[in-house]
Amino acid sequence: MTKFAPNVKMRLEELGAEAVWGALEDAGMDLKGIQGVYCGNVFRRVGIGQRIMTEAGHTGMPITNIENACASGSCALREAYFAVAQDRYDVCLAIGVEIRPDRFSGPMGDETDLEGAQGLMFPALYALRAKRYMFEYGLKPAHLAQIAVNNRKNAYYNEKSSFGELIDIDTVLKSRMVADPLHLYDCNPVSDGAAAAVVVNEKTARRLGGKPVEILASSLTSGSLEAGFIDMTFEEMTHRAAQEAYHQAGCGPEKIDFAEVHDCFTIAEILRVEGLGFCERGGMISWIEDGTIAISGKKPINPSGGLLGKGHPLGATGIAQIYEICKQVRGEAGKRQIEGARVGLAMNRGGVTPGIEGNACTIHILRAPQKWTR
Amino acid sequence: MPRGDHRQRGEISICRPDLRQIRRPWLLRLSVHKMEVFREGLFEVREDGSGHLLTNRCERCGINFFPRRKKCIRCYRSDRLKDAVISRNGKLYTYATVYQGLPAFVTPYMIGYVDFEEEGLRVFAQLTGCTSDELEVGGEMELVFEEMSLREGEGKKVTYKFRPVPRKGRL
Repeated sequence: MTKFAPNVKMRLEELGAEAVWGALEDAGMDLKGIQGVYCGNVFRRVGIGQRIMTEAGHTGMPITNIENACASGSCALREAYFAVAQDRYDVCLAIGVEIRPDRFSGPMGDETDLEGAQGLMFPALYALRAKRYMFEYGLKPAHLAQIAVNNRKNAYYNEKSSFGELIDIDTVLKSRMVADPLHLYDCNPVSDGAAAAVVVNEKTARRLGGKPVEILASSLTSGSLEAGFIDMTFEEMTHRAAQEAYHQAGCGPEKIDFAEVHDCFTIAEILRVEGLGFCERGGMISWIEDGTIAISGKKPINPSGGLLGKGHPLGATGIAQIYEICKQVRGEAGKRQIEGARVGLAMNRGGVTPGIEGNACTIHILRAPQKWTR
Repeated sequence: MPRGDHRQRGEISICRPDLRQIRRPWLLRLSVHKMEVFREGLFEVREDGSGHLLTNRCERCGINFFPRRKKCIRCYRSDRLKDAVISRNGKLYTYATVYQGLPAFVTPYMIGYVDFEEEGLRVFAQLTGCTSDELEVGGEMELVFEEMSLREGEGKKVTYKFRPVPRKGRL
């Protein structure tokens, strides 16, 4: 992946190509081995995958562009995974890339969006969820702030982040209020970037050697259209995606060593860790207090720094999560290294449509194989 | 701050929050029927400011919808859909005060979701007629119709909002 930073001074194609070359180098293979490409991007409308491959230096293979809001990157990975798993190809490439447009007020600001047109935007929506969660479970602003502190600290040890900082709870609580109870530090900062992953079948992995990481599960859900009240303190979409992923992987949440979880806002990390079934509802409060979710804890969350620590180039985030998982299970995460990390989970999600919880939730479970070849 | 659409016309729009746009529902009742409605098909408002939200219900499945739907989400059919309205009070499920909001809106503004238990509907709207300290989860809210709190130059539109019902015994 490229370093995530605000106002990257490169064309989108150049940014994407950097990530592609990086992934190929890591895999130990040439561009000409790529048989299919899936590219996740939100704001650029037409042909970004083709433009990146042209910049990178090889085209002609099937290229598909994917938009699923903030989950575009992981959806691109999912397509690459299934294309290879179903024996359509030996080698596929998944790319995620984003350069944020000048004014991102969120897709909810549109007049055609019933709630967006009346003032609901992303920080506001998450503020509503936070308020209700505070009412139901006694969550305090300091708990939310601790998540920002954790993730900025993890990002501090991540050379791919521009927002790493050693801050304390006061810094968060004193930053300006965006949508009560969310302060500036409770929200993900703006940044641009790209990430790419080469997905291969087992026979190709053996041939290439190196340290390929196994994909055990890939699931995707959209929010359910239900009558009655949607519970804003529990993510049913995340829960269903997780159940599907655990089923595919043949294990439960207790077997997951660590996770990259879509923390677009501090409250989001809380809702998602619970949605994944890592702890019971309301359980994150004690996990925040006792350090369970820190890198040194029993269930590290967002060792890369997450979206709060790296920013959120929409299309790229999903694959950046995969990058971190690979680094961790290979033992290459430096000062962020989680001891004994072997099975990691990436939870990526995006999009809002009035009436359902969200547009897409993608979950991948990855594992370090027993033996590395070569 | 330049905005996309104004850039095309060669104008620069300067956003100046207009304090005169603080909601005054009593004034609006005289003229609300003359203002543009935020979106058709969501509500009906009378000249005196009273009105209701437009819903419908599938008689077969016993589910209500807001906004109205063309097909039921459970039986996927339209033959038993019947128009209905909500005009009474609901309970505040959650709320928030937005300081960094949409460019068209005067900030800060308050938003929330209000539950209508009987109908099984949760409605999003702006909240009005109080300060954020006066809001509480679970509080009773009444439906009102008011001007959207838009900045100068953004036009005048009427929408539905909720405000706390004053509690009995409190001054």
